[in-house]
Amino acid sequence: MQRLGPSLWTWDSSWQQAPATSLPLGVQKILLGSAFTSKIKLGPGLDPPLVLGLPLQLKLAVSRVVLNQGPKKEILVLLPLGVSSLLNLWVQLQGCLFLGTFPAFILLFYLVFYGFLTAMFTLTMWVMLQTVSDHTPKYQDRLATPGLMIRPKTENLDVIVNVSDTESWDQHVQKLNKFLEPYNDSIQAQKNDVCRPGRYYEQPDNGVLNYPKRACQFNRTQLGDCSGIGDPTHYGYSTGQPCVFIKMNRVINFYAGANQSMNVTCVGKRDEDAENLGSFVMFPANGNIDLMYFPYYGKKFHVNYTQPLVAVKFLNVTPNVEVNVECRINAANIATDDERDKFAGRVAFKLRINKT
Amino acid sequence: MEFGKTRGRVTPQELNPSSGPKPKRVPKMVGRRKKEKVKRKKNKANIEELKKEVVMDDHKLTLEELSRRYSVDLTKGLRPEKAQEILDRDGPNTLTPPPTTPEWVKFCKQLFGGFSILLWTGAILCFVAYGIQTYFNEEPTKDNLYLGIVLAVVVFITGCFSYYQEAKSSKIMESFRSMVPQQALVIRGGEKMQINVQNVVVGDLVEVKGGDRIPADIRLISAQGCKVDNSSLTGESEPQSRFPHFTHENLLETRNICFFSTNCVEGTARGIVIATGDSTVMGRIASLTSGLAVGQTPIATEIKHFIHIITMVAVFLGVSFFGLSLMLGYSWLKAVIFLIGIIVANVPEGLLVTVTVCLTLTAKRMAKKNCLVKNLEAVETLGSTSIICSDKTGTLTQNRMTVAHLWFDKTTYEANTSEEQTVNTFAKDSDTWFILARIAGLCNRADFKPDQETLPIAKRATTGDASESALLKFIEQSYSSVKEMREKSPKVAEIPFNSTNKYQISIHLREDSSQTHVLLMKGAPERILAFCSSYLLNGQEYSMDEEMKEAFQNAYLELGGLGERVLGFCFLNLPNTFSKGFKFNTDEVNFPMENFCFVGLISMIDPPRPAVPEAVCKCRSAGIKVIMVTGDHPITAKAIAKGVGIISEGTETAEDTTAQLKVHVRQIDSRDVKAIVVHGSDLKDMSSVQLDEILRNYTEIVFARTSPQQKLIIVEGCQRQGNVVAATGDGVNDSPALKKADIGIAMGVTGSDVSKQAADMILLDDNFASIVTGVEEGRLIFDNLKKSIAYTLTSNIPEITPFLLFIILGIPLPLGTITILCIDLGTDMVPAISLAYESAESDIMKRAPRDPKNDKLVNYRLIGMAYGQIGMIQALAGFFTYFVILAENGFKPADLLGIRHDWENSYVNDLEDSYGQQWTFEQRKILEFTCQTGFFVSIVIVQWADLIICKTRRNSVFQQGMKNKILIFGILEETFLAAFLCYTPGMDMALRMYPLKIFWWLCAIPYSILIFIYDEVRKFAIRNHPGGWLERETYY
Repeated sequence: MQRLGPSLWTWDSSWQQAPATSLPLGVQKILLGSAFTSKIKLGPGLDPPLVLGLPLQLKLAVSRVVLNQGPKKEILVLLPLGVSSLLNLWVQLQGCLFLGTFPAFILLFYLVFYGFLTAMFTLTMWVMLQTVSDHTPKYQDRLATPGLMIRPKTENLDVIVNVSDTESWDQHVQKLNKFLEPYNDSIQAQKNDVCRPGRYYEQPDNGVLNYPKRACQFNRTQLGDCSGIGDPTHYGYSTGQPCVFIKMNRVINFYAGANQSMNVTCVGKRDEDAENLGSFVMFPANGNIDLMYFPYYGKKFHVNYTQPLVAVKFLNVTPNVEVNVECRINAANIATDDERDKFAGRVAFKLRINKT
Repeated sequence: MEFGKTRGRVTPQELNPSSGPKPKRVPKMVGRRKKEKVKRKKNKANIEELKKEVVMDDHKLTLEELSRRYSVDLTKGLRPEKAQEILDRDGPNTLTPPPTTPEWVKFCKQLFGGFSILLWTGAILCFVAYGIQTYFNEEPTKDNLYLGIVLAVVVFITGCFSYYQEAKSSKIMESFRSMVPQQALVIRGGEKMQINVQNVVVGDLVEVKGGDRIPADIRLISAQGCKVDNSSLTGESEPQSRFPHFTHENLLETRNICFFSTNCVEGTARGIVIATGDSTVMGRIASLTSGLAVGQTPIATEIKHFIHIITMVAVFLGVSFFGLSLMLGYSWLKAVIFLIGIIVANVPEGLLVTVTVCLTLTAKRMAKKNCLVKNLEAVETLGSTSIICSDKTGTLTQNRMTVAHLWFDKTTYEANTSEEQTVNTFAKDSDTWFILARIAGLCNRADFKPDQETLPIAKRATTGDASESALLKFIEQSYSSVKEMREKSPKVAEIPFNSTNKYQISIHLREDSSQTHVLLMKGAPERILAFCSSYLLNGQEYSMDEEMKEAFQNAYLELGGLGERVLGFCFLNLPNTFSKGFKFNTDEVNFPMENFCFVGLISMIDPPRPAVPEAVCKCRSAGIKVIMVTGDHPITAKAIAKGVGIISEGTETAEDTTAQLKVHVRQIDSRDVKAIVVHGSDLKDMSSVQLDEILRNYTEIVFARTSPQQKLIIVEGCQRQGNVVAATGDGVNDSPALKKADIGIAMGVTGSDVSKQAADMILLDDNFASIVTGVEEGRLIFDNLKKSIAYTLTSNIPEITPFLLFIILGIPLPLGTITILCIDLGTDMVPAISLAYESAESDIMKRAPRDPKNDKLVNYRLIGMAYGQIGMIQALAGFFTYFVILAENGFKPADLLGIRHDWENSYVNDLEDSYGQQWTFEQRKILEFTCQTGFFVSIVIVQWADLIICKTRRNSVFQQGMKNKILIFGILEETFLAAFLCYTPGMDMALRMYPLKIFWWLCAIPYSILIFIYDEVRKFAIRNHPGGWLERETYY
């Protein structure tokens, strides 16, 4: 800045106090341009003034002034003196000095416009969210048939166990340990009720909000050999007799089974699969799912709900062969023959035991 | 210059090599050619070839030989049967059209041009993606295959539709062209008949006159002052005279042959057709007739420009999101699918169809309004016209002289000049009037053509010159039957009017005493007065005095000052010495020619067409300058200009100003005088700078006594100012000006064939008001295209943003590619087209003409409105519906962020929603597609509002009304289509669209209302603050 020469220096300091809209520019030969245009087009007779042998350019923008002299560039930030002075700029569009007609102004316009739109959107969203109940979703017609899913949850739903390679199944085991933790008998006993089997555990609100709703106990020990408690075989993964857990998707207020008992069955998908599959045992016995775990009342109200599980322990799967297993639920009100949804009331997965 | 001369000497020699029939003639011809400033543009090879082939000798034959060769009677022509026979043998007299673009090429252009190529790319990418999926995956989803097929079908169908539309509109244009039939006057079996040029056959006896196009190659048998313009054949621009004598061995040089498709400039001629169609000299120069390269019209440029912008935006967005999604870790296959989605969303697939429909519609409307447009896009150019150079006679006026004023008994009376001359306002009971009427009726060579008794007098056709006809009609109307009058006082002798005498005399038997004669005279008033020694006042004869002479002078000046043609009338009762049977000799006058008795003056004018003042006024409010260019006298021109409003009332153009102009044009202070009448002779001396100054400084300009060549100078002058100029013309000589002007307008009735050929537009009724209609249509087409584009582009934002947010926020895809196509090609199509039917806004003729350089069809304001404002509201509406559907099904908005990864994973079949419920992949996909259907329906609903606001750019919808029935149909159609797509069973399989709850239809309504209110407020502000920032930033 000092190199610009004394005359400019004094001008510069006096300018600091002057309002931005009335720069005393008449005495100085300064080339004005908007900072938004990269190059100033010079008209005839409008050579940039030379200060100390270098051309000097001054560019004005709404919030800053840019001084260019040769390679030097100085940016002075303009502090707004208040909204009114900014607004004055718009009014003085016709004047000789106006700061950034196009971008600033249209930006302001869009700022206001989008601000308003955001407000409107937020408002409508807020109104909408007020109408949405915390309790149950408004529509459940897409969830008429709950889906089935397996644990351990693997990338492509294929359970591959290299018996000799601990690492290949260790992650499954970790996942299962974590998954089954809430089912520990101690936790279940502490948090959940003992319910009467064979009957739905209904907790109607009856006008008063019944909150939180109680859940029925599903003890880990019910899973027998697959409970993994004190199990040196790690759910059978280390011996090539893996346990796969089947669970049914939670659906609020769904009375699964329509008051009749239901169970999960598994088969090999094709004939050769059935041969290779060998025998398996299910826990609880028969793959039964009790009615007492229904209906589900939703995450917020049905705290501590633990969904029922069916564990399948494959005892003698033909090793080194990929076996397609399909498990489905047999319940009166769950259709398992949906052409498009391969997971409606059923689940298909691949099982492969690699033994050397 | 030296160089030019050398070339001038060399080239003709090359042009006429020894292959010409008589080499020794060549040098002479060279000299002549040089003198005539040969335009050496012609292809030498063509000329040479031509000369080799032309071995005709018809020009050398005598008339008898000619008659024998073609077995034709030189006065009666061919027998019609014979002509028909020859026609059957030779085929029609037309040139085989140059090979046009084959239909399949045109079709392919539609199929692969413009946006189509983008969509094809998309389709191919889809197939490739599907192919790769099948290769690597056992159970591929068929989505990509379906999408590919849909895209291909879509492009194919739009291509077909565009092709169909274009074929339709070119058919309309074709029919336009055939509506300007080339007629030829042939004499067959002794009868003159007008036939189409196609039916002219070899041996026909044809008659051509100035302004005609020569219908075939003709050997002349008689000619009166006939001159032809052979420029289209030889490039010689100067007209050449034609007569029946054989002058040159070379067929091209001889003076007794007229060539097909050249123009007869003046005179008349008769001749025998010696060749027709392709065998004519012109027909042989095939390359000359084939293909004048058609330049790109402004609207085509605009649309191309627009396509470029959109394509660039689409490709840029697509590619950047392709990169972005690759960076986000998507497989490149998925990235390709995103790319396709973005391209499909960006391209307004239905736009080109809309444009063609717009143009076709306008073509139809123009035809209805008596404007024949030779090239459709010219209409749009007409819309941006800023100056119209108009002829006076016939265009601004009725081209029918009518009596305007009478002066007798020292009083001026006004004759009603309206087309229906029913009310007469002058003193009909004065004796002077009877005498005046009798002179006007008797000393008059005009007569009604027979068999027109049923027509009103003003509409009857007459023989004789314009002023005599005017007098005849006037007398017939306001006095009595001229025929009876003439029967009672038969004409004995007459001296017809000629320009040296400037009077006309006829001698009649007196009605009251059949033995004596009366001498009636009419003519230029000052000449008439010189013959008179007395005058009539109220039927009494008084001797001429100074007072009377002064009164006469004043009346003469007054009427002349009105631009009217004034005639004086007087009579002389011949003494008894010239009783019945006296042989009057009109060559050596043997009767007294002095001491006439002056009766009165009658003045006539060619009145303006009734609709013209209004049209001129419209032009003025539309920012169009109307310049009158006429060959008439300045005073007449000025009077008409004032009459029609070209010089508006109260504008200073004092007589003296005009008079001074002749001396010093530049000394007049242009700030005081807004109107000017420029005399042709002044124009001749002006430099182009001076002319520019006049054109710039004066708002109301009349050019009088101008030649057609000067019209060209004026048109060029206007164009120098950056104006878009429309020029009218009817004569042969006007064609350069017509061609030079941005829009040449020829007259359908009076126009010569040549001018019609040069023009872009033909006014079938010769009416200036039709030009204004054309301007209005031109502006309307541009406006409506703008509106239609604004409408179509708007829905691009709600189509693109889902993709962007899908990738950026990781929410389930709110709008799929198929649904986008459903919008672009289904629901948006009819509404966009319906805007082409929108009637004009009230300001269409009140704003300045479009500046073709800066005022683009698609400008940043339009994009800002469509993308930045309305489009954003629409996108919000769509997202609102989307969030509502998801939330009501269990997925609250907050839980959606980043859900995409699990959501899209088909192995995750227990995805938990906000309520703890678990969803299989298929279940949530159905939900997703339901959301997409909801988004789609929302767009349809906000597009209602968009369509209604796009109806107008400045006016309120309440001012404009909802009269556009097609538009209402469009709204209903898009709604029904949306409902159909949504609820038809099977759509879930076909297009993956699922039924919506009724409530979800309503989600977008608040946004629809918001769009409507916002735009009404915006337009209100624009109307109330013209020129304000809102207008500058948002008025598209």
